[in-house]
Amino acid sequence: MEDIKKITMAELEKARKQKKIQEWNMTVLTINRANQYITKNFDTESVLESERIELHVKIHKNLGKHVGDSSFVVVETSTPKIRKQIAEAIGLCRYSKKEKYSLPSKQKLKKKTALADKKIQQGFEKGDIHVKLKRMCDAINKRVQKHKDIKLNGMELLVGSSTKQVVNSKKVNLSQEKTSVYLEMVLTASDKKREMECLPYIRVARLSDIKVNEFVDEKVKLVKDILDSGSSFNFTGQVLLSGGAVREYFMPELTLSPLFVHCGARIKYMGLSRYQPGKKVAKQFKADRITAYTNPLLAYNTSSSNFDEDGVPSLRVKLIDKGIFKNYIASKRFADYMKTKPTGSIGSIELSAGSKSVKQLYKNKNFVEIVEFSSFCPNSVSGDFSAEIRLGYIWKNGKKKAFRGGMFTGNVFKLIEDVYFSKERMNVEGYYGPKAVMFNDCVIAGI
Amino acid sequence: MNKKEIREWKDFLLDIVKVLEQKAVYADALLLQTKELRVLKDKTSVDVNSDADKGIKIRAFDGEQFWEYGMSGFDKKKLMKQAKALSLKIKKKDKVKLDIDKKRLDNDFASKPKIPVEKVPLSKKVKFVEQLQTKLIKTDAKIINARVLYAEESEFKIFVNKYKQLSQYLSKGLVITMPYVQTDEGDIRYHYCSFFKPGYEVTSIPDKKIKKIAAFAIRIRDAKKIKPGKYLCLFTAKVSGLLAHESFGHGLESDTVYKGRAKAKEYIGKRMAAKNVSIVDNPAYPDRNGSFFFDDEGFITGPTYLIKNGIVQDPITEMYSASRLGVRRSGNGRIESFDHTLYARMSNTYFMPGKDSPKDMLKSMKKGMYLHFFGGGMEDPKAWGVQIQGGVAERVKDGKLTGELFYEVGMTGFLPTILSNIKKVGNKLDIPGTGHCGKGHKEWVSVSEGGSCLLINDVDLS
Repeated sequence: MEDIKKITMAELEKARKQKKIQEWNMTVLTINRANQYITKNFDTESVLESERIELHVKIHKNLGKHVGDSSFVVVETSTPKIRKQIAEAIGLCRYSKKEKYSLPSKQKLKKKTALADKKIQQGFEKGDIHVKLKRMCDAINKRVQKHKDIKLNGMELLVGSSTKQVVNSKKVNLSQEKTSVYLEMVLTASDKKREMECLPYIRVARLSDIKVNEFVDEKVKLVKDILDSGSSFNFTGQVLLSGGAVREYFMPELTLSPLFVHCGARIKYMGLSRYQPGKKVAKQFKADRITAYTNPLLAYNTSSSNFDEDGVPSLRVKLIDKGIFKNYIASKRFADYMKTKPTGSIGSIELSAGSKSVKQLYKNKNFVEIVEFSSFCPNSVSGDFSAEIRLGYIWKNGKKKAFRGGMFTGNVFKLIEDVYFSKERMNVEGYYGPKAVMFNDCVIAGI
Repeated sequence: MNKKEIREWKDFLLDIVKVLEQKAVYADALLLQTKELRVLKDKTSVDVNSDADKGIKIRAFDGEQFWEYGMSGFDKKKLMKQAKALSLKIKKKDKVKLDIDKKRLDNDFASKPKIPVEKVPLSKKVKFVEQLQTKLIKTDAKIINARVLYAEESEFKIFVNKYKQLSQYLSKGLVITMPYVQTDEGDIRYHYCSFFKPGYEVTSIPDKKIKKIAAFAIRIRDAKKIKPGKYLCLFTAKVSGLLAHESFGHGLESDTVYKGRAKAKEYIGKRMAAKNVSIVDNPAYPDRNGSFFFDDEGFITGPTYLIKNGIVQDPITEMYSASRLGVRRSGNGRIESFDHTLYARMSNTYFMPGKDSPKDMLKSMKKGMYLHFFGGGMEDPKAWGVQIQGGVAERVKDGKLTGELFYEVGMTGFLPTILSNIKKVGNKLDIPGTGHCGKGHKEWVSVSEGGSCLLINDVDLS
């Protein structure tokens, strides 16, 4: 790998000195994985180890009033072939015309956030990572066994140790190490009549971040409630999001929340953002006003990164302050266009505490609580959503009854007008914010 | 790779397999290489980028479990070293008997595009994107931006085990259009449209179609939110396909069935829908986004009925769970990449055509909804819940489309109820899907879906 890196850098510098390109950027990513796949009856189906190495290059070419840029992945290993790849990319630049922008210059990281678990790294170095994983799998299985009528029908424990280095023609040279642990279980609860499942998962940076007993017990309770749940119903009124649902609402798995997509400088540049700096992000506010940050500097958080793909040091950025849009999330390119500061990597969504305690929120008389969605996938531009409820509770005068199914529908920009955030916050992968959020005036469509 | 290189790699990978099978009951090797070119334009800029990936995965089965190793690149020395190291970890066991396909075959397959992308200069591809984007945005001032993507992807694989030495070259051409509009209230909406062909012929999009896309985007501006309720619905092929894929197909993936996650297991061999309802998964269907000749375990592909004439059939499979379930294999073992494990995955999933004319199906609706398309969904194989979201629906009255559109519609319900409510099945087959499918939110593979249009009673929309 070092050879390929050196060859590529040398060829890029050569092209730059020959004025074939003006700037270049290279990101080197190595990912080592160790995965355990457990199936029914706690049989091991597979154990996987892998080494992935990626070399991403971006080049800039002056095109008079514009700049042409192009990115590619180096997959060749010989000098002539790498030179050919660079030449092809230079050819692509001619067509990839855009408004001029520049790559970032060398900057020191003010603070390097810790992102790697030494135990995982040592496990890979010594070759005994699978021993650690097996130990965790055994501990999880043992804990599940303590619960009657609960089966562990499958489990995946996926561990990665990665390094990322960004270098460019303006002397940027930044690197970081990261680890990640992804645990997914298939839990089944059964009684005489039926069997139901849930598929809980957790993503953390360190093995020790998974408190096995707590995690298992919490998810066993979830699947038991799913088993006991009744069917859905039509409802209009207050909806409380808690647990996995509140995290997923503000940090969906597959996309950034529309609330924060519109904070993007890129979207603004494209003429698609509904936000204006200094203006409200919603038409009105009847309760708590949202204050939100992007925070890529939370230690041992898999969403964190000390710098972005350009080599811009990451910043904690206040996006929205008490309902007023403040700052864009911007890569170097769009920061140049919007004449604003580049913000580095996106990171976790951090929301400020609200005005009511969790206890106060639960004191409401009649409301629906949603604990888990099947999958929350809002339209990232319009903000509309229809999300199936995997587990919820209908609360009536202090008593709750579980239900599942039905769709929570609405628009995130509308719902933010009338919301209470809890004072208490939680810090999980991708989200550091209120543990519970109460939206007023919501719709649930039952089956 | 040329023929000589392919032969050399096949022979070398066979040597690797032999090293592994000194200790293992079974072993295989998969080499994969992908390349992609993307040309993307919106009103602010043009982006032309390429991407590539290459690596090798080897697997050894010890009689109880698989031992897998994946690496970037094609370093033969390193691979042999890793194979020997992997072999040392293996101790033969006798717990699971794999259903290994022992038919010997040494063959090379390739998709046959009408216009291979390599024969088309980049300048022409960029010009196509620029012209299409300009056409869209100039159609109407209400279109505030439009993104057009042209993407070409090639995937090359070599699979080797003791019995099979296979290679396949798949080429894909994709065009995506997304005109954006702004409502009077200031909301931004878009209309997503995609086209697929195996080669550059994907760019043959008639002007009439482009005008239709722009016109539909304008209509979406005024689309309302639907009133939640039950509706008689006419599903287009796209929507039928999504139903087949999300709500039924995932529940008949053999690893899901084996782990006790699939309600479908209780219904195998039993009637779940009317006789005119059949759902097929078919990787061998030519020239679709989910098409391939052999799966990532070297099994030659063919169609698998998931439901045949209303009766639930056996699952689509990969080798391990098929062996454990004792069901026949199908060519559905797929990996996302060399550093991912293999699962039973769908490919091209569709409702088989029936006898009814789509025009007559529409005419027969006194009132209901015409479901144009949906964005995606999530599986619930255990409870057979349906979640499909991101839809656009149009009100139907007295057998005609009224022009009243509804945006971001969600569909839910209980799958057996939906299937038993199918009244008519259209007689035309169309498989237009161009997306990707995950197991939950990971393990992405390319798929398509579609089939015939369906008329279904009492569909829950919200």
